[in-house]
Amino acid sequence: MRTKIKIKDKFYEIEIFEIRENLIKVKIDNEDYFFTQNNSQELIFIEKKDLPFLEKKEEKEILYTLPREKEIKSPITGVISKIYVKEGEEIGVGKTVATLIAMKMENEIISESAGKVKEIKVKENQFVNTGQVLAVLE
Amino acid sequence: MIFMEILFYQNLSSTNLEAKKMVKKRFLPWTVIWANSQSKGYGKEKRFWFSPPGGLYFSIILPKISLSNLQILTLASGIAVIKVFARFKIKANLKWPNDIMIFEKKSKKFKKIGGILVENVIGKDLKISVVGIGLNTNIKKFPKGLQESATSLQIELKKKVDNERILKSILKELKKILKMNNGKIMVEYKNCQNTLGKKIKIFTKDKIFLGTAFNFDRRGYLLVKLEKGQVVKILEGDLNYEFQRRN
Repeated sequence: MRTKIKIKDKFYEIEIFEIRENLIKVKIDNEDYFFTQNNSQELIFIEKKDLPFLEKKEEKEILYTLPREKEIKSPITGVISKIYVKEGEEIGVGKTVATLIAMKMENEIISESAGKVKEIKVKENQFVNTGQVLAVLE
Repeated sequence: MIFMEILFYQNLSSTNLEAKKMVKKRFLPWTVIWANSQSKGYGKEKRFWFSPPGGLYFSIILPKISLSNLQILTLASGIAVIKVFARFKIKANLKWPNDIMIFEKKSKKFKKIGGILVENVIGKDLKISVVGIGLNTNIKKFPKGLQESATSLQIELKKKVDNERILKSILKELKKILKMNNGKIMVEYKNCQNTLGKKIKIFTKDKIFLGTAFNFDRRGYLLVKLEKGQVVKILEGDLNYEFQRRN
């Protein structure tokens, strides 16, 4: 698909290619940008340094090459009702790490990183604060 | 005008489950999934929710809000239901945070007439937010195990109600409430709840507290004064009003 958009009086020529399932290239004025999707259908930008890997890798592996943080932190305060990952398990972006209950809301906490779970820092039924580390990835 | 689409089904396993699937298929916020019955309706921690035909079961795909404001969703949904019930001459109120109750004079007991479950998927920000509301509207009779604790609009009003009208009124009210600031929502919430001032027993995941509910903090957490005067802040737990000291 090719289109033009205007931002603050400047026109940009944009071309979108689906290279294969879950890998999209967006060409903006002859510059290439690559994106993949997580489980919530959000587009995740892939940095150029990861590009050499992309052509050879499967979808699952692409996710592992994404920039990542080593700690998965609780985004809100609540009580852990269930933990869904185990130490040593390989997890991808979008994997449910735990369910956290607060104010009768059930919150699925998903990972935005990919990697091997090195350590789980919390237990079921434990109260956690916002920002508290739930799990550490290798 | 905000987008709103209501999708009706005769039966679903659960409207919340269906709504969560639909978010992934890029359905827009304020899409409503409504079922005449649910085969696997559930509440908190997947507890069974009695959902026979005639009741009103629906889930709303909510717009994304900031994580620091998340608790407002659970309170606002409760307020919306209470306000709409009042228009139908039903005096219901909320057992913290959002069990919908009515006081039955005959048995001098609070009975449950509806429940609300907000489910979110969160990464670094809010990805998916769905509120499920189950209301006992046109239900004639409850099974034995529920008769003591549940009632319906049909039982209370001795007539059937228009589920579609109630649903649309709740949606309109919820949109209005979500536009308010948190301070105003807390004022509205205080007018709709029945927990403050009561002696309660709270079952949290690891403790049981006995005390008197005396206020909410700005996020809606429940403040309870324990028997020895200590104050605890509760953000999760099951409340029991019928606590009576044995001595």
